[in-house]
Amino acid sequence: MPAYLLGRLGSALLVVLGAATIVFLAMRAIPGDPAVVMLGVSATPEQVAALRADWGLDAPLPVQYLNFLTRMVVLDFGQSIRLGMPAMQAVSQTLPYTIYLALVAFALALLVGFPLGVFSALQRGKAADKLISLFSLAGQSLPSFWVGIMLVLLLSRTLHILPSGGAGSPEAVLLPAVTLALPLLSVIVRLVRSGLLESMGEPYIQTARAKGLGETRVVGVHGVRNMLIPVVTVVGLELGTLLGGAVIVETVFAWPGLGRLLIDSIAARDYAVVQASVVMLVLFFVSINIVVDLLYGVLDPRVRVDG
Amino acid sequence: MNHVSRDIFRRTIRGLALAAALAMPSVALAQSADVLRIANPVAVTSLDSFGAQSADQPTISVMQQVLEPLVIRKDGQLQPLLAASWENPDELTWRFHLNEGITFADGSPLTSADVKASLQRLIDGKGPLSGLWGAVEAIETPDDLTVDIKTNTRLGTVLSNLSMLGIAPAAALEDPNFFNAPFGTGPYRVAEFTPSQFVALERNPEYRGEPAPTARLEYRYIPEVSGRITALENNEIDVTWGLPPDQVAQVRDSQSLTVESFPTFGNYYMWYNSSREPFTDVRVRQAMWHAIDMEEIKTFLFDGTAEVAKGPIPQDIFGAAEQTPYAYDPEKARQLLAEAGYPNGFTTTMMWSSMCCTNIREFAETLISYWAAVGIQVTPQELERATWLENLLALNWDSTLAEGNTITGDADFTLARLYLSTANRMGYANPELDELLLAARAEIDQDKRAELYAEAGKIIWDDAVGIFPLDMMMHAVYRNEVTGFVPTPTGMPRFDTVSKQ
Repeated sequence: MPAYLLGRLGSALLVVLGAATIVFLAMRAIPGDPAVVMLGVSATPEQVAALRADWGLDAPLPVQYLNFLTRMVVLDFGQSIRLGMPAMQAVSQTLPYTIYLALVAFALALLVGFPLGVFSALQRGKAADKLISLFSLAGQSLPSFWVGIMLVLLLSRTLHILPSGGAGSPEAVLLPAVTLALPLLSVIVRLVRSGLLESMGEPYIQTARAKGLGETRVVGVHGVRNMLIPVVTVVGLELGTLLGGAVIVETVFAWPGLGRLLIDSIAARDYAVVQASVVMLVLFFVSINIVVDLLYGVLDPRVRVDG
Repeated sequence: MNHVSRDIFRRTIRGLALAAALAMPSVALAQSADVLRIANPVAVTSLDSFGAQSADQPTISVMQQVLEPLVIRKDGQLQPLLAASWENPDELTWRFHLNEGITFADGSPLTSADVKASLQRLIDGKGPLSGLWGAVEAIETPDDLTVDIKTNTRLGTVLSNLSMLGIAPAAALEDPNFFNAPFGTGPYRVAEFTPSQFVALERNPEYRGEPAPTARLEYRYIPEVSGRITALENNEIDVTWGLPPDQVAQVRDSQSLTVESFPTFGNYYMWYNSSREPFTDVRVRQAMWHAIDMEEIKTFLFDGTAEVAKGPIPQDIFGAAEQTPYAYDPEKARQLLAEAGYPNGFTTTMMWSSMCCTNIREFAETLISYWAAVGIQVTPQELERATWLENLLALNWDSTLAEGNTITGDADFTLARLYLSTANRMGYANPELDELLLAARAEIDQDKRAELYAEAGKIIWDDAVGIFPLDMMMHAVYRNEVTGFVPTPTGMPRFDTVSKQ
């Protein structure tokens, strides 16, 4: 087990390093210069050169890259040009908002999607099942920016139940979270439904019934547990997608998260903040994947790897 | 329904009910009349008005209520504020006498050292406004209430430049955390600041003038126009600005909201790259202007929410003068093109930044269709701002559409920064224009400066260095209970006169 974990951590570090390298090169490969963006239409070559020298952007690329990597080890990404504060400070002010939003959306998707899926499977072919299937199909197909705007129109502008945006009050998270959760919720409903239907047809269910177990135990223990692996895999991967989806949702709802910071920083060619944001997102994503891999072992002893 | 599914169903319903219950205690928060809730159209990312953001509207619009300049532009005139008077002991020196007895919000007195430290910080910050002070050689403080700004050439723009420099306490400027909660001599001080999200200002207890009618100003950033309007209608905010024309018309119909539209220092401009064929020929440049019906564009594309331009800079700016309009005359356009050797028109491109400004794409497409009518095929190039800027500075373009804002309110800011041949911003070089602009910058007599800019403006207009189509208007929207709103041509509203009933 420790050897497996070490290997897993090693490859995770490689992923982070690769992502860091790509974002470093990509930001410098695209046209546009941070000094020019800051100075605007009236920028003179002298002003641009002076700023680039101040920010260390006049050094050769390999030198900049090495600086970036060595400082990254201690999570120091340098100073944000646009914000005038350490890039990491800007990220740590916004990342919690994004993680919070993603977690609330995740919880919503799980708490609503899972029971709905089980219910739908047990009601197979009946009206309720068809209704739920329709709902989950719609949830998966509708683009989140559209859903978001419709929710604002209905719940905020017409019914005045929820605030239209921002993070000013505790309930402000609900609209963006529902919008973000909807696609994942739908995936969970469908996965749980088909997984449960499949596992309910397996011989061990007959055995369980034949043992005289109550229906709650048959479904809850033998049925549900055996269809968990695919659900956990997909859900784990989707948690990363949630972070990506948060970028769009954050814009619609004026949610002050990392996604919006990232977009603004790319536009300003604020290298430090873009690098810090991407590396932190990748770290987060990779950690989730490791946790998911470890969960397999808990859920299904057959995939447990012995060290 | 068997008992398992019923149980699960029940649990699901209970979960949903809980979520709904969580959602209920919202909106109806009691709103005090002592708090004005403001929604910025653009995020306030930094309150450091001396650095990277020194020319950014969000930063200035907040900080102009916190830090005060030596002189202030009011009703088109520069008037003393922190300075009581000024003179020129010699042509290279501007001497300012500060008002006695002014204190910062922390109780410390305003002295010449604070002025020196503030100006020095702006220059050292190398930000977008630092170029205004390129001629400064030394800042001296002969005594506590006197500041000398010494320049290496005569600098006639010192007063209007100073109107953009808010004075901060020298000691506090040393503190790296000062701009998290800055204070100065203005009616408000910053109480809370979360970058890109929230700024709260509170009355400055040390303010020497009439206290501002509203105790607390709260700025929230709401990026989407529809979100801002929804928030206004829901009474989540009191005031916002920066609406596109189609939204202005819609909001005017609202019972609970008031719209105020007023002229600004901002305008659209379309530049030709005069170093490239066929724009080296003035007849081609004029022809394209005559091909456009500006009144029509103003009425139908902008819903009447802009003004047809009368000069290369809006008329309220110091040094602006009214020019002879280019009539909409497609026949004349074709004739000028034929004279220039393009009887069948030509093919060219026009670039713009997608993040430029209101209606930019629709505006560009409309212009392009007018040109097509006289035989000029223009390929549109919409670019991301950073890419657009890089092309612009490299003169790697045929023509471009953009927005300008003469934030100092002084013609020098736009004309001399951009139209000097040494700036080489649009490939146009005219020694006569250079001479006028440099003479105006060096002229200490402000009336003479204005005359020189009027002449310079006429050359830029008549030579069609670009097309100057429309001057922008600003549209502020507020709830009916808001009173005392004063329009500002800078496009950056201040709220130290505003109250709620």
